Parts: sequence; C-alpha cells; structure tokens
Amino acid sequence: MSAHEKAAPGPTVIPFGPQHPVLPEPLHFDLVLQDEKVIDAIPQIGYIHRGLELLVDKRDYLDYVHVAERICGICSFMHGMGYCEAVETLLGITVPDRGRWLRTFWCELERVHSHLLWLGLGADSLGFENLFMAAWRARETVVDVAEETAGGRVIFGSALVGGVSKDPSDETLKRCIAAMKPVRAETLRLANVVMNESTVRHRFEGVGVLSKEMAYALGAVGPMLRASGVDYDVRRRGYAAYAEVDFETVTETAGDCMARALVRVREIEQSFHIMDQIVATMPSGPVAVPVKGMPPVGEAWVRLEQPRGEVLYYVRSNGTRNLERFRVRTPTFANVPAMVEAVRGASLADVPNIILTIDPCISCTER
Amino acid sequence: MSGIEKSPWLIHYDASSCNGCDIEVLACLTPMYDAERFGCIVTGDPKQADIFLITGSVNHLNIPVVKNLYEQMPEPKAVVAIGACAYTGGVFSECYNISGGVANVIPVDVYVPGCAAKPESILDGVVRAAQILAEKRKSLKVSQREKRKAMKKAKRVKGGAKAAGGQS
Amino acid sequence: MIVREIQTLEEITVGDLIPKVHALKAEGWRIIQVLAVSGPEANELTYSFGLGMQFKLLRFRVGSEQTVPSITPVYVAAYLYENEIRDLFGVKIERIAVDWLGKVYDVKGDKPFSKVTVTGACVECPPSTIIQGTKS
Repeated sequence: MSAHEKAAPGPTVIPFGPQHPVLPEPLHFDLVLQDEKVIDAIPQIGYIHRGLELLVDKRDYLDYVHVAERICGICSFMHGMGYCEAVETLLGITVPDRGRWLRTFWCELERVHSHLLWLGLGADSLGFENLFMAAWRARETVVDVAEETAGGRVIFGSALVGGVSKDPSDETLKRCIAAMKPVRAETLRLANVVMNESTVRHRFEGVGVLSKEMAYALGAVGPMLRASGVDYDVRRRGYAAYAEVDFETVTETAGDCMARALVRVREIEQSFHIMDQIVATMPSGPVAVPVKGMPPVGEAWVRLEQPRGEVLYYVRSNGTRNLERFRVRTPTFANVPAMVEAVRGASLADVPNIILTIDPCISCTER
Repeated sequence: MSGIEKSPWLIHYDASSCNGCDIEVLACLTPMYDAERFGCIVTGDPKQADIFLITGSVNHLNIPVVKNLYEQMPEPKAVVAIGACAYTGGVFSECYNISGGVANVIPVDVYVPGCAAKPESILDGVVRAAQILAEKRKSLKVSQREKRKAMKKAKRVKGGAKAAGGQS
Repeated sequence: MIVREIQTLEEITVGDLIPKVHALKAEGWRIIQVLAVSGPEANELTYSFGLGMQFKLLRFRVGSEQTVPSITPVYVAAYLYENEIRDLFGVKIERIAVDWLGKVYDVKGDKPFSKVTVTGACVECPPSTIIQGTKS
C-alpha cells in the first residue's frame, strides 16, 4: 500500500482497564471505536470474583453474616441485613421494633455515605477535584456517625440474624442527627454545584442517555432506572421500618448522566428526612430476639433497595447448620447491560464519566 | 534527586477486595486524613509510582495484572498490603478462587491490619513504606557503587590480561 | 404508600420456557435474575421476574446433557446470568445473544459451582405456592 492510499477506516479496539485512574475497582472493557465514537463495548468481569456464595457450605448459617457484610464494603450493612432478612423469613422470626428501626437508620446512613462517595468519584471522573474533596469531607461526618452508633466506619458489623447487635442510646442517636446538620446544608450546596456549575453540566448533560423503555427493558435498577423516569423503589415493599416512615421516591426524566447525578443528590435529602423520623419515633425495648437451633428445610427470597438499586437474596436450607445455597443478585449486575447500552454511541472521552454515573460496584457484581 | 521518601508517589490497585479498604484508601487522600501532607500524590501510572497500595486477596484473574503492575514500577519500590484479605485472605480465605494473600504473588514490605483497615493505620503504613523506600534506595546506591567498582576492577584485570597477552 | 409483595412460584418444563417468557414480556414483566442450583442428578434453574412489587418465579430441572434455550431473544439483559450459569454450573444454554465462550469470570478450576450438590426438599415445592407476603 502506498503512502497516498488511506488505510481503510475500520473499527479500532481499545482496552479500558482493569487498572485505570478513574476506576476505584478493576473492570475491563473492550471498546470498539469508529474514530472517536464507541460503537460497542464488551465488558470483561471476574477481577473480584471470589466465589463467596460457596462459603455457606463451610460456615454456620449464623456466622455467615460476617461474610455477607463483606460482599461489598460500601453497602455492607445492607448486605448483612439482606442475608439476615432472608434467614429470618426462612425461620419465621419477627425482629423487635427497635431492631427494625435501627436497621432503617443504618440503611439510610449507608445510603447517604454511598451517595456522597459516588458524588466525589463522579466529580473525580470529570477532573473536578474540588467537588471530590468537598463531597468526601462531608462524608467523613456520616462515617463517624456510623462508627459511633454501629462500631465500624465502612463495615458496620451490626447486622445479626434476629435483629441488630448494637444498641446506641436515644441520646446518642439525637446527638448524631444534630452532628449531621452541617452535612445536610453542605449537600444542598453541592447539589447546587452539580446543577449549575458549567463544568459539570458540560460533561453530564445529554451524555449517556438511556430512554425509559430501554432502561426498563434492559432490567436496570435503582437510580439508573429512576433517572430514566421509572418510579420503582423496593423500599415501598415496607421491609424494616419503611412502612412507618414517610418518604418520596426521587425520579428524573432525562435519563442522562445529569439525571442520574441529580437522583442521587436528591435521595440524600430524603434519607436525612427518613433518619429524622426514625430517631424521633424510636421505640424502646430489645433490639434482637435470640435465634437457636437449626433452620427449617425451605427457601426464601428477599428484595431490598440498596444505594445502587434493587438487590435480591436467596437462601435454601436442608435443615442443617450450613445452608445449601446462597445467592445474591446485586444491583450493578443488573445494571451492566444498561451500562453497555449507555456507553454505545458516546465519545471515547465520555466513557469514564458514563461508567461512573452507573455507580458501579464490581465487588458486589462478582461476589 | 534526593529524598524520595519525602514525596513518594502512590499507586492503588484493588486486587479482589470487598471495597471497604479501597474507600478507606481514598478517604486517606481527602481532607480529613490528607496523605498529601506527607508529600504523597496518587498516580494512575505504575511507571511513576514508588509505593504500591494493594488491597484484597488477589484472585486467579488478577495475578498477572498485579505482577505486571509491580514489574512496571521503577526501583526502589515498596508494597503496602492493606487489610486482612491482603494478608491471608481474611474472611475469604476458604474461597476457591483466591490466592490467599498478596505475598503469594509479589513481595510485601508493610502489612496494614484491619477489616476494613482504618485510615489512620493506612497512613501509618504509608509512612513506614516511605522509610523502607529510603533504606532500599540507600542499599540500591551502595550495590550500584559496588557494581561499578567491580566492573572497573574487572576491566582493569581484563586490560592487564590483554596487555600481558600482548607482551608474550 | 406500601405495596404488598406477592411471590409466586410456578413449576414448568424446559419446553414451556420460551412461550411462558414471551407471555410475561408481553404483560410487561422485567427480568430480575436467573438462579441455578446444582442437584444430585439434575440442575435446577429458576427465572425471576418482577412487575411492580409482584415477584414471579419459573422453575424447572435439566439433566446435565439436556440443553436449555436462551431467553436472550426475549430478554436481552439475561445474557450475563446465562453466561454465568453456563460457566459456573455447566448448564448447556444455547444461542446466548452475547457469548463469552466460557470466560465470563475466568475462574480457577472447571465449573466450580457444579461440585456442590444440593439435596434440599424445595425441588418438590408445589406449583404456584405463595411463599411469603410482606405485612402491610
């Protein structure tokens, strides 16, 4: 081929990850490009697959909570609690009121910490260091509250089959709510930055659009689905104490990166609203019921709403101390097809922020 | 170029961890704990990094990635294994797909305890790694000097032998 | 506003899968997940679907040599579940829309999940049982 002849403009494949500056976790994509446009993306997962579902075979069903909490370090309490709810359904146990209330409190605390964490990472994917630092500074107060009430900063360690294992006093909880007041004000300020700052708008508006029909058909969950205009929130099932509190399901209609960012930022406010109600109406009494003996033969399915969306737990018992099968279908796993769809058609430079607005949690996905 | 230990560049990789330690590593870099006051900067490029912060128990697929990252880092380098998983595999030590600790894959200099490790202890680990980096740099210099000396000596001996050969 | 969750389980056969799934798609159900459990003689597959707070399960058993049609022509999003099940359990699923050819996780060992056999009595669950309803 002579130098004057142009090379045929065929597609180029660019590997993205597993180690990439914008990704906190290893994830690999083969991006098929036509010039700068992504025409296809093929995910390669498995960098965090440990096979922890098989551990139920080796651990006592009551001890497995510790493993369940470590499915993911960001939504650890909810994973622990989801496993507990599934086992409790199997055993036919009702958790005492104070235990249910505390579970709701910690769930919402975790949602705030996860969404602030996401806001920081999302800002980092744009190179907006200032917003990254501001969001994480606000998050530190939330994590401190977690440490004071539950015992751990990120792995709460308070989930227990039959209830919760920690019982912070009412005064502590009230003090924590007061301590988080500045975080609430800061979140509103940061929401304003996200909505009005030209840097963020330039990178987020109209980027990675996912239509309502597409999001639903591809089985997307959580903020990803709600940002495309579908009102779906598993908290409406009324598990823990969600039946007794008032909250709003946040939805947006644009389906782009901005809509996903706004859904999360606005959900933080709702979470604070729920925590206020929980602490104001905190019942007294025991936080857990003792659990003894073997689980009965049977199976149970439980769904919860995590910061990243709907999560599903399945347990099956054969009547011994070791469960036979445990399965968790995590929100990011369900969001992968939608993520691939959102990346398709975007320009190469937008790929990191589109992936980040899905709020991927690879540790959850691969288990 | 003196005092690499006063401004070490960090690279962070999550090798099959649960995320708990990773977000604590990130927390170290943000205003509350602020590792930058020790002169640290996080880089995404292994070729510019001095300290390798690694979390998790390194699964089957990650082994070549971790080795590759480690080999790309220039000498001297230090490895900080963060969390119980990075030490023995932690709660996942019985899982089928993991190699049971970072030390099975690359040499580790500092272990940071905890599940998840707390930012304070991660900072301690980084500071300790910076000291190790300084020691390694010193011994690297010494070994390089000795190498040069040995080479010079070898040259002289060789040269002498040649000269001797020429005479005969 | 609390919506009551209704869980239903239906036992079907492999042949019924595609028509059933088509009917669910037409009614607007979305795919939630596909579960595999490795039994002593046969693998058991459970497909979960959701519509609002309703939760429907379709369950059947397949022998190790039997093939299962992929539901990706109806629900594209099922490709990850199907690839995972094929790689970890060795269930023969045919014509998956996005096919990783056995490398979705690239794990140590061959089909690690198929080595654990599950003997639980749930395989004999009566069809269309309401397993659990949440209090309102």
